[in-house]
Amino acid sequence: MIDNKIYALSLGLDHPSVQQVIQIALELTKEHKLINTELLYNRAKRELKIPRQGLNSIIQMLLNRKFLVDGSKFTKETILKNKIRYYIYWLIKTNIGAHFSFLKKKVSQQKESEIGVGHLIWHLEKLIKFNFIKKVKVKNCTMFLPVEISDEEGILYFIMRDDLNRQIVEILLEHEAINKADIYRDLNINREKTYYRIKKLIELEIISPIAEDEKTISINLSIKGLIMEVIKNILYTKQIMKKLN
Amino acid sequence: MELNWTIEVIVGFFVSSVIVAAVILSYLKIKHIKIKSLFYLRLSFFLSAMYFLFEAIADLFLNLFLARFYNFLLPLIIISFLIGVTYSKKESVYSVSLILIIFLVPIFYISALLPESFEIIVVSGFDYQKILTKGLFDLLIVIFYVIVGVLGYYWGFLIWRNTPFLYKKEALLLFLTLILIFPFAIISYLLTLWHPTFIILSDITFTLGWYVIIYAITKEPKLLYILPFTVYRISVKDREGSPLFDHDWSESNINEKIFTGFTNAVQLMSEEVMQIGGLLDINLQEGILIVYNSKFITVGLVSSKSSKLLRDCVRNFTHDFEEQFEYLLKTSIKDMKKYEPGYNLIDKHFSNFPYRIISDKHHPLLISVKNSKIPLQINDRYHDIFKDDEEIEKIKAELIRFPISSHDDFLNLYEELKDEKEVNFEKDDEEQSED
Repeated sequence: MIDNKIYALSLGLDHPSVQQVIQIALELTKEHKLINTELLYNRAKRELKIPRQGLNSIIQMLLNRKFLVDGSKFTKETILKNKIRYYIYWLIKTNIGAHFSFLKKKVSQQKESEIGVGHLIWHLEKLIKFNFIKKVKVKNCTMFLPVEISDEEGILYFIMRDDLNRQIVEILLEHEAINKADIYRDLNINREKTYYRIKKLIELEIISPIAEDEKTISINLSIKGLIMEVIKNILYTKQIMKKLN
Repeated sequence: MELNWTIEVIVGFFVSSVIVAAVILSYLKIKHIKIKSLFYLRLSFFLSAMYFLFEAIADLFLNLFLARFYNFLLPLIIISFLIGVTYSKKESVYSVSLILIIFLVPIFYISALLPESFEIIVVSGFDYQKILTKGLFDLLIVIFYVIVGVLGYYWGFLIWRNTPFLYKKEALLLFLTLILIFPFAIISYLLTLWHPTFIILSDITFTLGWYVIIYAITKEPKLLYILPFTVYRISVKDREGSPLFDHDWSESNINEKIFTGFTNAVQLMSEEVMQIGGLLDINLQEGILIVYNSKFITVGLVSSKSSKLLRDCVRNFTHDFEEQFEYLLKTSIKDMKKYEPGYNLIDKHFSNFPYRIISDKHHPLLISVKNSKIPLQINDRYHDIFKDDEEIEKIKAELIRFPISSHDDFLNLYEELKDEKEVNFEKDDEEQSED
């Protein structure tokens, strides 16, 4: 037990009273309580019966010895104060449909903040935990979306970010229905490649076959408006990014 | 000779004894603490005790000469109280109110010598005799009381407002005493114009006020260093610039880089500009850096203002630090843990200065990274994921700030994403073509 006359600074971390206060601080953390001076003080006062000034000096000493550090727990308001985390969130907001490998590439290009894969995943997990973003699986790949974007819209963004997919859809938007062969001729690229992409777009229900033989196709009319908006946004973002670069 | 034993005389003896006892107890309790303002305040309290004592003796003998004598003490009480208050505000004895009081003192003494200033009266209703002050002299006494009352109130308010959480209770006690007890005492004194027996109430309340002030200051002498300056931090470095010891009293706006940069620069130029044992004050935008160079170490102290007292403290601390750790310094030991007993020297040389790190009771605290208990297995896993030590420290520093630190969520996401291949539609096309 210490009295008021003894200054806690001279006691050291090994003093039994100091150790008891440390134990209480650790217990509070274990209980997931947000520690503040009042809570720690009241709990220690109740359990340890240390005089007021002595207890205050111990708390002060724990701060001086950097056992306790200044700071509050993260909240939705403070979580984005971390610059790297904010950058990752900004990337996801401005590149809707961005997948993990895209984010990895972009973040690694940041010279001033060389962060590894683990670090990137750390921030992504925190952004998910605080409900800023969500994770959507598209086939074998993981895409991150701002929470306000629906999964369906997010998948559209993900597909439309690819130039060839977008070019095919743009042609379809101009025609009510079109023959597959006309598309590869229009684009002047390999037939197999084009057909393969069309097949994938049919699987994803972005376009739909009109005839049973799938030779004539059209855009999925139920999402036509959404597709147009997505393409418009992607092109606009690309334009802005180009200007910024 | 018949003695004039009255209730006022008995109260006078009683209150003077109480104040003397309080002053002596205060002195014995914090004998080791040497604070200039405390000396003047104690002097003022002691002179007050003498004032009440001689007032009682003068009434006991109904002696007008003694009545003049004890009233001569009043300006001294006021002046020493003012000096004490001013010194605890700005580490200086000079103030406008002191000049005003000194200007009034000759008038006060002259009026005390006037025959019409004192009169022996019979107190109506109680039928006892007493010496009464009158006229201009009595008015000057009231003016003195009011000046001291107003300044004392302002002083108490400033201390209470600026006192950090740790000492708030004592500061509140001091402030409440000054705003409640002293106005009451002054009003009681004014009521003596209506009936002289109110002096008993006035004396008792004044004594109670003095007693509580002595109690609050004795309980927490740091209150007297709340106002003159704020001490932020002290740092000790060896001659190569390696940090050996540091200690914080308060959060500072001074950037860490500026602080380190300055102390390093001072060390470099020390041989040309500063002699060993030289002190230097550097004005920073947010405060003052006091640097003291000695044979083995450079000590830097950041405070809000420069002060002779602080310079002396830095000098004495440096000498003791060098003496205590002479062997470690000579053998160029840089491990900061070895210098931790230096906290005793902080207690020894800086014990009067208040801590302000805990600004209020709701101040949020976190257990530091190195002391937060992360299960060993998870700790190893983090070390596998984050190869870079600096990176892992950053992550751990963040870890303690999450309300619920779930390691599993992060580790699961890491397992899910760590080997994820790059999305490449072109590559898919090629693979398809090959098929």
